[in-house]
Amino acid sequence: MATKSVETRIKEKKIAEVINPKLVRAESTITLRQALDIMQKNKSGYIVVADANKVVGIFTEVDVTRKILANRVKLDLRISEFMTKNPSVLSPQDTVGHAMELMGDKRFYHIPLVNQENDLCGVLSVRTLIRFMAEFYPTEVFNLPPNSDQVMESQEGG
Amino acid sequence: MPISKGVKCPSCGCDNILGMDRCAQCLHSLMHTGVLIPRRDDRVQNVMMNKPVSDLLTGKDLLVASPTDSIAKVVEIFQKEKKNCVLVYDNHRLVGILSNRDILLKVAGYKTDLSKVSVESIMTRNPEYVRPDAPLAFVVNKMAMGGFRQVPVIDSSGKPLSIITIKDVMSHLSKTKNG
Repeated sequence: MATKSVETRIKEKKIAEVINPKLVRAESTITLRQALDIMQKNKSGYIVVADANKVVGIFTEVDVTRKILANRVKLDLRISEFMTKNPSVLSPQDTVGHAMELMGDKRFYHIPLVNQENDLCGVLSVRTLIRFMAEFYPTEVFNLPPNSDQVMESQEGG
Repeated sequence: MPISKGVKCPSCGCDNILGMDRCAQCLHSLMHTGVLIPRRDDRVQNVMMNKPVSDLLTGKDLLVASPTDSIAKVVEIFQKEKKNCVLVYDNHRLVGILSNRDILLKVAGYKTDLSKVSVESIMTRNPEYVRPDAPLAFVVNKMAMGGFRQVPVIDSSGKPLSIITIKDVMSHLSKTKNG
């Protein structure tokens, strides 16, 4: 049995250790149509927008529904006009606890990761974090009944 | 009066006779020890295992659509209300859930007239849900397994109480972590 508490492990674990290698990225010159294609092909809810390896923005499904579909914007416009510019970034050496705070406070789904030279090197998604949290509960959680209020009708079968 | 001197099942809470292999009510194993009781000084672990989902609910995020509503209408509401997710009810029964992600992956760019696309045609059918008394770990597991970012919270009569999002969980856990 692990001796460290979950709390400590969250504070010590580096993002680099939990990260999923998948990264969907594009340059800021692509059109909205190209962006939608990339997201649909990769089944991703985001695109990290980077020029010459430097993060300039992030374009997400929320931008798609709220800015584009709701306003019926033409899809041949550039992504740079609709992306969220200069998003918060983290380093792979930051801790999972730090990332949880940022995601909880600012309410992001994806945070681009940059290395010491400020070059884009990955992305941390909120789903990666929640999987990491779920790993602490292998026995307890996976054995929960499908409905939490499920009650068997009799003590024994037959 | 039954005297509770046995082992409480970690899964269903049923009282079992001490020394049993499994819970008589739900067959959850009672043989493993140690992992089940969160350490008292471990706030995150305690919250995950003991805090019910209902403590995190605000009821503010609750939108409900009908299967025949158009996507154009949903998009308009999402923009106006700054929401990402809507439950789909048909005759007081939960039949689906529709999020930004469904709209992005299934219609954005393909369909030009969103007023002709129905909610029913792109919603995720029969979504997973949780009861308000389920522990937080339970909803975390559902989110991790299914890759969901929103999970409806439904009471035992089928009425929607709220939608719990992965962000609610993150912000609650990070607050816990920092005391």
